[in-house]
Amino acid sequence: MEAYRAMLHPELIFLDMQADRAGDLFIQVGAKLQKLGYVKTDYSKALAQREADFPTGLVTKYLPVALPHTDPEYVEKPFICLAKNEKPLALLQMGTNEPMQAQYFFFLGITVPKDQVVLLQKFMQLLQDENFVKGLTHITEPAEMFAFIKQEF
Amino acid sequence: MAKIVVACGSGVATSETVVGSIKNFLAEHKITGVTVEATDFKGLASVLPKYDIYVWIARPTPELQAICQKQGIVDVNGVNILTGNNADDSFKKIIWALSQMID
Repeated sequence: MEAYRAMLHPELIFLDMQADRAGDLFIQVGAKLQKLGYVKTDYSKALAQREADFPTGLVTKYLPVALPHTDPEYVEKPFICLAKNEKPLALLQMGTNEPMQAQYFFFLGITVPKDQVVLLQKFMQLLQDENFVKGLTHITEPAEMFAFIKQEF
Repeated sequence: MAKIVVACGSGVATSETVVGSIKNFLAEHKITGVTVEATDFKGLASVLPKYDIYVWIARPTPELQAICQKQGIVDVNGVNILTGNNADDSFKKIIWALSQMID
C-alpha cells in the first residue's frame, strides 16, 4: 500500500457541517481534529492565518474545492480530512485571490512534504475524473464515502 | 542550464506537487537541462533573480512582479498546472520561455 493512503482515516469524514462562513468551518473542523489528536492547539489559528495570507480555493474541472492546510509544525500526525458543508461558502482562489464558493473542503495535514504530496497529486488527478466527482458528490454516508475514497486513492 | 522555481505559501504541499507535474511534463517531452525547485513565499524575493522561470501558486506581490520585469524572468500560472484546468496554456508558456533561452 502506498504510504500516503495511511493519511485517510474513517473518523475524518464530516459530511454534515453547518457553517455560515469558511472561517467558522475552519474553527469547527480544527476543534474536531484537535480532539482526535491530529493537530496541535494552535492549529485553527494557524489555519485561519495561512488561509488569509495564501487562500486555497481551487476551481477544478467538475468541482470547486478548497485545500486548507498549515505548516507541518502544527500537525501531530498526517491526515486528509473531508468536510462537506450544507451550503457553499465564500472563499478566495489560490494564486489569483479571486472570489469563489466551495462546499467540499479537504483539510491536509502534511508532515513530510516530499512523501505526502503524492496524495495531493493523486487527488488532483481524481478531481479531473468525472466519475470520481459524481461519486464524491452523491454519497451521503461517511462510511460509504470513506470506502469510496480509499478505493479510488 | 535553465532554472524554474515554483512557489506557494509555505513550500509544503502545492509547490511540491506542481514541481512533480512539471518534471513529468519535461520528461515526457524529452526536455533535459532544466532544474525545477519548490520554495516558500517568504524567501522568494531574495532567490528569485537566480531563476529563469517563476511558476506562481500564491499570487505574486508587486515586489516579485517588479523583480521579474527587471530581470526578464518569465512568470507562469502554476494553479492551472495544479488543477489541470488550462494546464496546456501554462506548459506552452514554459516551453516558449525555454525556447527563448536557446538563442
